[in-house]
Amino acid sequence: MVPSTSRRLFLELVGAHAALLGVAGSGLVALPGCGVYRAETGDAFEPWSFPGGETVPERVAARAGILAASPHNTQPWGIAIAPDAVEIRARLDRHLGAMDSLRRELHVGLGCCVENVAVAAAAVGRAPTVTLLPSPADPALVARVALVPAPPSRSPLFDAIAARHTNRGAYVDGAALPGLEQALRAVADDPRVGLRFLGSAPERARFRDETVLATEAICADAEMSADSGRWYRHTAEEIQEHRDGPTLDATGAGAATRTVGKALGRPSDDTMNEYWIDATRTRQTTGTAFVLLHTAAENLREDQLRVGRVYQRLHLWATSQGLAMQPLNQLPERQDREEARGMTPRFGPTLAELVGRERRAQMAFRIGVPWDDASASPRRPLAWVLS
Amino acid sequence: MRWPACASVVALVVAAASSAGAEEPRFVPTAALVASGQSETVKVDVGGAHSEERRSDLRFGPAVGLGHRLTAPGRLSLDGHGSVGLGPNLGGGRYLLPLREDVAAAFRPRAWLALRGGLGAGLTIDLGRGATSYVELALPVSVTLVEVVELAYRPFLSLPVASEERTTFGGTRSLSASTALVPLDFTLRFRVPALGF
Repeated sequence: MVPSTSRRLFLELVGAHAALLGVAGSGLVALPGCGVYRAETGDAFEPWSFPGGETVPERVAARAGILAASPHNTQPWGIAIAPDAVEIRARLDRHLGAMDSLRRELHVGLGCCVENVAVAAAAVGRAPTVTLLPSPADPALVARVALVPAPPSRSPLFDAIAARHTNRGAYVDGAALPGLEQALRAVADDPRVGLRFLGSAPERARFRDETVLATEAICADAEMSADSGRWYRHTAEEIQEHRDGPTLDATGAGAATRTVGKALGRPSDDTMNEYWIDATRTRQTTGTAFVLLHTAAENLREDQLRVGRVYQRLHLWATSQGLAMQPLNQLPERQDREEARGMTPRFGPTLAELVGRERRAQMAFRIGVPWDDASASPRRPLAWVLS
Repeated sequence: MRWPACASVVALVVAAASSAGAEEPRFVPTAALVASGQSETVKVDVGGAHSEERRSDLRFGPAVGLGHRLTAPGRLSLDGHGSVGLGPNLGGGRYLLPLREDVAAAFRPRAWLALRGGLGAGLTIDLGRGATSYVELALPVSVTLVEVVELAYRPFLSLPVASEERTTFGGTRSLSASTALVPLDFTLRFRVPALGF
């Protein structure tokens, strides 16, 4: 087996050769027939032209919902528009399998959708009232956002909806941002969702090390690795067909790596795992702080939805402030996996140390000042998710 | 594609070498492949706190130029070389346009060997992001064989000419080329005296 360092060096040399041929992975050059396509092009990215020409307030709110964050860009939502409400339903078939063993992240993603709907509704003259899980007999109906005509209340969060993208590139490591923790707490503003801020160098180092170990554990778990890779969209055709999932352009990798990656075709799961571990060890754990969102230990679905709303609100706020965020959920993913499989806890206790033994870590992310802007990810259009 | 290209290069070298014995024209066109480093700095100033970070990138690309004699030919002479290049950096994928002019003392201990060393200046324009364009102050050295094939090493001091400022959490994030010594800059250049004048 070729050592990983030799394989990476080979790819870098190929990238250099590609550069000599004038190929630029950022999308400046597209090579049809060679697999190299321009980033962020095609109908799969049209939803980011928000609100576009949409004028009906309920549809504007629904269009905002489809731009929310979701695990692996699975977009696990269905949306129904009524004259006085927008309802968000869980698409339980759009799950991550072993990567989200307890469907925690699926519900966090749904909470993100709810938040975007609420923020957009207020901006276009519809005061939102959110009811989570309004019908116990219908657990797939995760939220009903009642809309009442009101004066428009446009906020910087609304303006950030179309600009918010998960940034998986390098951040300025350890950049001092005085007051960040307090600002995040003020924005989070949910008594049932706790926030643990890891800003000191020792705290960040420990979280980084544990996240790398969790990433390695996920990659070593064949079922988790396969269920993660199943959502990866490699070619332009796959992106346009599915309009979901992680893409190469959204990985935060360098231009030459992305160009070579597109030209060489879909990588093996082993190769993707290698790159993910390397990225986690290097650029994807840089930043000012890591943050854990946690709830009561009962681990209720409603609390997970609240976590999603808080995360989306924080990400919109960060975007409005010129800051970047990226989920780093490897620790909670392994915690869930350990519980679902009855494995000896390894990462659950780590999280319990960080958030308190009477609490449950639901979501982890990094925040900081990015070096570069993030690329948009594809989105299923409103017509595909309306019911 | 590969073999005709190689054959063309070989033919070019042979043709150039065959005319190298004669006195070199004053102006000689050149074609080159350049590998050069690049350095960027980001500065963050928020709430009285200052942070700074630097990163490096690598650029590859072709360049065309014109060698020109500044003094009469001989065992020792003063030569100049101006060039313009184009190529992307590997990390950012942005195209860079380097404009360079070097002046060097040339020493020819043998008819087939020239050693050059001198001073250079340049401006590299980042076509994808003007804020990271930079000026170069260089110390070029090179070895030329039969006045055709030249291997050059050109470390330079990078000086930013612009910056990109963004409001960040009530403060400022500023991105520019670094003020830094860039030791990595290698050129494989072909001089074509046959096309000289």
